[in-house]
Amino acid sequence: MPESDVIIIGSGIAGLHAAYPLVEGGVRVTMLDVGLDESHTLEEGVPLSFEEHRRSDAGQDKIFLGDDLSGIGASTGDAGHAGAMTSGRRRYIVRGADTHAPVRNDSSVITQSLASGGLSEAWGAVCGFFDDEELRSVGIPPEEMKTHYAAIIKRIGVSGTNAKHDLQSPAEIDDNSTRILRTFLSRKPFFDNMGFRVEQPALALLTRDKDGRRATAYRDMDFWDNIGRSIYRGHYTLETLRTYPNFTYVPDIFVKTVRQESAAVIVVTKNTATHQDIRFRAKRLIMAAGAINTTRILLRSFDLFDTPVPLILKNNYLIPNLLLSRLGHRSDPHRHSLCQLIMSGTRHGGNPVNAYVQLYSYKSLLLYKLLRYVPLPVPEALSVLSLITPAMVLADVRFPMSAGTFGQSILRKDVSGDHLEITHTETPAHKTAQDKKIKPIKRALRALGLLPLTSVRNPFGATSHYAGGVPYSESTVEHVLSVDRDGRLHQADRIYVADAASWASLPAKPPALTIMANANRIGTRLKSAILLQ
Amino acid sequence: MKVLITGAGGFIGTMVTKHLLEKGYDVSGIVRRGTSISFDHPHMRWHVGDIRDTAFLEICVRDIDTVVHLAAAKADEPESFAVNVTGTKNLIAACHAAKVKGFVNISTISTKLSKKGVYGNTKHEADELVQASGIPAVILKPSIVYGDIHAGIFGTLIGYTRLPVVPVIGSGTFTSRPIHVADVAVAIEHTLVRQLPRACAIYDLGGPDIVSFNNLVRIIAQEIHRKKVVLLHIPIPVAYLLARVFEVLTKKKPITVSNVIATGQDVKVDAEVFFREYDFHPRALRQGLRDMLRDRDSEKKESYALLRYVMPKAPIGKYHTDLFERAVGAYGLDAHHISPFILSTRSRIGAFDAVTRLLRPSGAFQRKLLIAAAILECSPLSSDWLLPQERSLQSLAMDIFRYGFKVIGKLMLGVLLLCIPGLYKHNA
Repeated sequence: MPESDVIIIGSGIAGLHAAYPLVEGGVRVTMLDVGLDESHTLEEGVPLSFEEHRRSDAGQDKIFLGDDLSGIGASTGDAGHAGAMTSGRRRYIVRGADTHAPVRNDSSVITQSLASGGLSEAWGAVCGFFDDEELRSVGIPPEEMKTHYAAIIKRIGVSGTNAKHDLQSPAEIDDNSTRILRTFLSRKPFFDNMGFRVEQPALALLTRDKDGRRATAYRDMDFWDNIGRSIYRGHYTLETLRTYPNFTYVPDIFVKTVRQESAAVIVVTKNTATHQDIRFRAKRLIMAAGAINTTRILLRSFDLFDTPVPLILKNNYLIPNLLLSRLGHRSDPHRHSLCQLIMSGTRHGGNPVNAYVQLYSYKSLLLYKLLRYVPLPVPEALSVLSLITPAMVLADVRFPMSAGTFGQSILRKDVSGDHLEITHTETPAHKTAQDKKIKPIKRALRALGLLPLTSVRNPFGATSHYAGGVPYSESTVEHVLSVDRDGRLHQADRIYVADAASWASLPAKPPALTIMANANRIGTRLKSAILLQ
Repeated sequence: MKVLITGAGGFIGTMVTKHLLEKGYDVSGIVRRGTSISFDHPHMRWHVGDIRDTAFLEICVRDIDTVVHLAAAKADEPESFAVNVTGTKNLIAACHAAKVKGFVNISTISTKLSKKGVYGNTKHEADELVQASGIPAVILKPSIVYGDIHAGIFGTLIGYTRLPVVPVIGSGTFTSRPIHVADVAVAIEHTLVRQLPRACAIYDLGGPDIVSFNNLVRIIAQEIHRKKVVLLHIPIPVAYLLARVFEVLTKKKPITVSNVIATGQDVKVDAEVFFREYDFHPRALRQGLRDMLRDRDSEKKESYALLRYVMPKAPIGKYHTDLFERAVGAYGLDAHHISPFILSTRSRIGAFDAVTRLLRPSGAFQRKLLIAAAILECSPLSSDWLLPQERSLQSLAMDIFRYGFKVIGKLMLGVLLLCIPGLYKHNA
């Protein structure tokens, strides 16, 4: 039975950045992971731009549709948005999750990953810095976070502008977004009054070379390949960690249960290749399998079947807009594909809307994906789409979800073992309230020169942001499972939770950066505790 | 490499054009006025005009590296000389002016006959012009070229062999080496890959089988119609007379004087030199005939019909139909078959598309169209069509109008299709 100081379950961003300070500090860390990895296919090939691929690459179907043609999405149940980032060659990121980690859910969408690097292998790289109020609602002490945000920025490379942090210079934005930003600046007092601000997002996209990774070449292939490694992906950090002698990465391991004994933690696992049971032992354990699977493993380990625990899911609204002034313009193909601008509610002013709106252009995406929204015969639909998509701006609207809302997870026994039952019952009043907030947002979009065409409400979970299960709590009685402010489980003091399972809310901003920074905080505090002994 | 193909709309020309595009060449093609251009490609440029027009030729050869000269008047026509000889002369002059680096002339084995008809004579003169031009050149002299079940000598033969008794001019003992048109395209591409010789090189081009005309008729009857035939030999003087009569009476002649002259003489097709020098392995005759049948059948297939419907002008190939079939399997749509009635014309597919899009947008028919759309979009074929372009608001509005009319037309026809009992139920 291999033994180490700390075992970390999962190689997603939480596990990696909790591991980092520990490994740097000389602590012996073992990371257990299923670790599917086909990321090399995304780094191979000639670094052509999206247009160059489209014009001259006869084998482009392999990139855009994948070898398994999953990119077409012609199944009846294919969810448009949630699947968009994990189709084609990124399909492996979600492969096998359904069978290894079964979920029964109602109307919600649950995306899980067994890939090395986890869902960061498919993320959109938008970095949201939580303000103090947001951090407190999550259960993270705000006063500790500045140094940890700074550590992550230094580690992964973030570009943009931020008053409190030193970032790489912001990435160039495309023609449509330049236009929108100019409109905003020229009418700033008007937007101040409305309570909205438009700015460039901070992105985990390099604009300067860093650690062997290249500054973005603006090839507009960010959704399709990792050539140049400009966008941060978790497995780069894993590669770095693996160069340390005190770090051990054990792939093909699926964790079943964890158990605390007098002076150690035992992790019972199954090898996914040989199906053998293997036990691991360490002095401490960090859970970082993602909010849903950390919850699953802990519920199973504490024999808490049929016991509901909180789960926070986020939904989003997609508002496709036409930027009328740009109709008929080809636009410069020299661009990045990520979020171009964000429009956020300032939460002050006359009509406060706490929303985070990400603006994307629909350029390096494919038209056939939109066919379902255009009820014309296919050739005409494609023609019309080719005319209007260059002037299309997609607004992805998100609202904060607080604790104790509508979601819960329950671990249920079944014939093949167990599964996680996820229920999400939103009250009609909540839906109405959310719908109402779309109105001022559309008004703001119109003021930016955009024509909102419609708004599509995506189901809860569609953003792939999940939290709760083992939430932060001062007291030990409020929840069956909960953690203290250091991420330490009240119910077993050698077990820590580094991922968003410990979060008591989900702010509107994307959580990834804060998950990394908080994991770094938990890892750092644990390192101090271990080194002190 | 930039290649200009004359006669690009013809039987061999179309095949050569598609093959070169597939191999990544930039291709310009000259077609006669009135020829319908059957496909578009981002690396393809079409010139419509006359090979006898010197000013037009000068525009066509600009920036061209190599010219593949296929244009010719095949039947004995009054303009044979002007097209085959004067046309070639003009083209060579234009090539000189534009400093074209290579010239591939597609001649005919008929130029080797001791007694030639108009076709053989004019092509022979053209060959001499090419040889004397001083431009590095290759002259290919193909034997019978086949590959399309509906066209060329084989098209005619396939028609005749349907009869219980097949008329054959003369003894039918003269031999030929039929070569599949796709192999001719490969041969031409082979000559482009290699540096053309300084002086002119001349090769006979043929398939691996040497067959007498009698055997050719028998093999075709066997492979295509699966039957045996009786041959009726027509003495040459009688055939000659018939050809003369046809020449006077009809425009579209079943036999020409050149045909009759050719049948009386045996030419040795020395194809092995080219096989050896260019490591060229054309398919056997029987294989070629089977490929021909398969090509005909594949045009009736669902994959081809739907892809063709989404992008009528795209040169849809096996690569795309294979992808389509793989996707249909991957998405579990194997069991669904679209009735031949709908597939038979593009307008019926369009009409059915218009109505199912509204009535059953996630039905099997629409999912298959989605697959076709995805496959075509993820191909260079669609880049000119679908990638963003700079355009005026006026043209934008015009286009939208045009699509509007098309949609209305499809919808109206679609409503009619709905009236056919069972059609919607079984296909949507």
